[in-house]
Amino acid sequence: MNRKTFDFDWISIILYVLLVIGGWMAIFAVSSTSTLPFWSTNHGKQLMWIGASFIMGVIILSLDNRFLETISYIVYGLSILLLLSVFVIGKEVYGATSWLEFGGVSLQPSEFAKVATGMALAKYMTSLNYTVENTRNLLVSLGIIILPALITLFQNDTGSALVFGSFIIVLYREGLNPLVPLTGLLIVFVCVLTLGVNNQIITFSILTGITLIVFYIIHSKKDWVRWAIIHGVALLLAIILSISTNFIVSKLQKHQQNRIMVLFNPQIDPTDTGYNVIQSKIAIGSGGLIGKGFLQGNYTKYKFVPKQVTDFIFCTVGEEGGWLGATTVIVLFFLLIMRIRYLAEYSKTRYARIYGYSVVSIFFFHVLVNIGMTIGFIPVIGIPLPFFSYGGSAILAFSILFFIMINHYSYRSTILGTKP
Amino acid sequence: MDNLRIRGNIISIFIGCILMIYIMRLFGIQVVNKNYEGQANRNVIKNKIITPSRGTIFTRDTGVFVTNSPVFDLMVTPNELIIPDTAFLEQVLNITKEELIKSLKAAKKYSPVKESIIYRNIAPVTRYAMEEQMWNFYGLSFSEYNMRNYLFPVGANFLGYISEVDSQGIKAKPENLYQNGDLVGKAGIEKFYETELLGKKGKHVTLKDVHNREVGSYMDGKFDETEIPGKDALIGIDVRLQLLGEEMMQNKKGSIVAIEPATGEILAFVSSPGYDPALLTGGDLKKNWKSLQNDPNKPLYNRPLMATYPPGSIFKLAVALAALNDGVITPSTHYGCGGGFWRNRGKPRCHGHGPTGGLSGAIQYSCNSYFAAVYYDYLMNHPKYPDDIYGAYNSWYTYMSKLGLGKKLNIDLPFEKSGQIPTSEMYDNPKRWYGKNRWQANTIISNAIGQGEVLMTPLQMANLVAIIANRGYYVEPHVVKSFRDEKRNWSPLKFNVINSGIAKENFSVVIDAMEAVVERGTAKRAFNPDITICGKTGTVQNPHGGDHSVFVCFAPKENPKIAIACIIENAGASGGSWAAPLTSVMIEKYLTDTIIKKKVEYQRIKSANFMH
Repeated sequence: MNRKTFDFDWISIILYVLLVIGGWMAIFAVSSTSTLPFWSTNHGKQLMWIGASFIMGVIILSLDNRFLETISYIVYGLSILLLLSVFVIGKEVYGATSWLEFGGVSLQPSEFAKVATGMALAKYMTSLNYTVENTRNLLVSLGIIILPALITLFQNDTGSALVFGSFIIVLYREGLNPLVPLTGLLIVFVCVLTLGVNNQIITFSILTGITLIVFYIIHSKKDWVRWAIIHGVALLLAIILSISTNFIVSKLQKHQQNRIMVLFNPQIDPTDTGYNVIQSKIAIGSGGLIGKGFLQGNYTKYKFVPKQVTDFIFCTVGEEGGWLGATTVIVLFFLLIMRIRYLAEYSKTRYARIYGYSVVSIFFFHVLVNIGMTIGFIPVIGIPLPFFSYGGSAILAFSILFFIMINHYSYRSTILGTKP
Repeated sequence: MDNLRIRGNIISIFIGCILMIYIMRLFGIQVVNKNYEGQANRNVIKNKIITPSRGTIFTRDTGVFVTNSPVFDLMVTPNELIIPDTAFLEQVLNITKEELIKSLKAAKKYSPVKESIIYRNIAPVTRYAMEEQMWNFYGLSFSEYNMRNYLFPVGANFLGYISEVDSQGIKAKPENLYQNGDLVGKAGIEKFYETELLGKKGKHVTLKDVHNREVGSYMDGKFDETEIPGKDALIGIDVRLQLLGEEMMQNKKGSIVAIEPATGEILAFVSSPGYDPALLTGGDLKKNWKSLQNDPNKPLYNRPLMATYPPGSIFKLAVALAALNDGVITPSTHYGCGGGFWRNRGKPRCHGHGPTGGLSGAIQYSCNSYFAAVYYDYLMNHPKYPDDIYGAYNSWYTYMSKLGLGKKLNIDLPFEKSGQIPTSEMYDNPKRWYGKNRWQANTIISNAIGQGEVLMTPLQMANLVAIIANRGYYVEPHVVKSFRDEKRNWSPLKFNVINSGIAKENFSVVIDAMEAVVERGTAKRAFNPDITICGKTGTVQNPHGGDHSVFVCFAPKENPKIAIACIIENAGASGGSWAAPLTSVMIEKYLTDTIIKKKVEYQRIKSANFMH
């Protein structure tokens, strides 16, 4: 042992425990009315998984960090195999074939693939002579990310596949040209604008206006012609993107179209696709400032919100905890993510830093999409809210993800460079 | 490196900004906008699917034939389920706690948020009694549906049945057409006309309060969809005839198919042994279906459509028509008999009979040697295809096809079989048959008398005589003739008319001979002095036991009203002794509504038993 015993980052562990407790309380609030025996209820089963997660945490913390680093590729390979095995022995849940079942216990390999991808990415990016600027290196990094994403996409689990997109944050931190994420954000902006305004002339006017303002701010007097051309081309591309967005959406299947369009107007179809969003917002909205109180959320208790304990668990938080409760949960997530980012930034090894940023990206993306979905900001994409959504695979995977980072950070005071 | 550290800070700011926006949005929803709070106390939207009543089935002679009667299913929405007392349910539904828990689990597995059925077929009285006790039960509701109610215990084979949709049916397009527990046509016209009989489901969007009480319609029914009841169907079946047919076929295996030649309407469609259609309704459906399925006599097997037999001598009619039309023979062409086909060393053999003279006598006595010779000359000495057996054979095949043989007749019932008229390619297959240029007329001479590789369904047999009755064409046979439209008028369905391409005068020759068959030939038992019946017997040898007794006929000779085929399996006797008199009874009943002339035959047939 070349680290001090129990020299873990207790701040993040406390934040983790607080979130796990909050999550369990939310599940308990929903399923407390169940008449089943305790260990068959959702909250009972979740408690079992929380226990398993703690045990897993202790095991991970007791391991040597070099060992964890060494097995990165093996873990990655195994998780790809596990993902593929779903096609052979998987079972279908809500239209997505992404589950494995072993003796009554269901596992979702895609949850664990996120951890494995973070490890493999960190391992590859710490290899000798690696730089993000090198095209070949960059392509291999992208390959490591895209492979599991593609497999989950084929399992019809779009939500989990999208999570892998968050690794762009890691690449950005490690030196990826900032234009790449910036372009990505601009594309999202143009798409949202197009669909939100839903009128081509107004959309084009807004885009032109923004371009002119940006041009005015950043153009230089010396070669304003060049700047004008760059802005002109950007505007043209944005307009083409806007037109093609409209085109693609019009070609989607009706139910997919609806899923996107209810963001802008849930009343389009309040009985079907808009239903989830409306019910979810009603539940959250009914919480008011201070909430109805623990176990008093009758709206969520009678399960008027679909997927109440999994994807829409945040509704319970909003209904019973009110704005204060919901804000507390979001702030706790923010603090945890910031703390992990801090651990990543001040770790002694590059591996730990890159892995840490993977953890930041995954947690952030899940919080962003899941809460965004319940408040009608983001289309209904089924991914869990870490530590809150009911589901063994999710809490176990998030815990493993977290504790591996804690393990790496605990070696910060050892000699520089733990690589042999 | 410092540059990259800054990026870390940018990431922090980015995350912070977004979560800040979320917190502000929540403030908007939860604190600023008071609407949501009010809505949560009052308004919960619930979709209620309304299944329309299934179309009623009418016949022309009885009027209503199949109706619906209401029963109730107990539905559960597992996620909303709160039962204070399971004992009440156990007692009133008469099930054990284990059974109740098992069905609740199954429902939850299907979907925790959608309704599924946990108990079927609750009578209206029980339903109202239960409702009084269930004011503090959550997640349970009743759904009314209509069970089929059969007014006559006949016709199960063409009516089919409805039962719970399976998982494949739920997945089938269009999506969401069927939910778990919905009833769907599984056979017969119930399956074939599922869309028409089902109608269109409706949707009622209601508001419920937080205590799960219905408080009204959502947005004044703006999103409601009215259900459209299934269309009523009128079938061509003559119930008297169907009843009589099923009665005479008791204790026999086989089929009767009766067609109205001018319209193609099926008048009677008997599959024996059959079953009472009421067996496949209600709570015992699955159990009864299983026992029918396991019955060695296969009552679920729809023989008129699915059983294929060598047609035997009735096939000689088709051979004669093709040969006449191609000029291979004339009505007066004569071939000697001598107890067998001389050009093929006496095979097929023939039975002793009087002098045939021409074609007419050959049909009347059903002379095997004669038709073997006709078939031989058709293939080997065809005027259009001299020395070209392939040309001649394909020409023959085309005729058979136009006579509705070797192909499906597109009847409006599922699972129809096409029978078999072998193609020349089939005989060219060297592994299973003879190989190219390695067969000629004598190789396949058995086809001439309907015993070779030729197979027909009873439906095709009836359709063949319908063509002869029509002197050259048939209307695609069908059970349902019209559906009732929105204005409650019967709007007739359109059916294709298919021409055989055989000249009318050639039919007259054959028809005259068929008249003689009944008057003084092999089917004298079918003779009725008041009705001119034209028919042809068949006696089909088969490896399973006694000969099948086959008879096809139509009547009256001029302006025919009915064409019938009857096959009685393993009767161990000729077509003339059982099938022929049976059809004669059917004809008398259909045309005169009495059984006087054929009363003795009727009694004799009814009491015969060929199922040992």
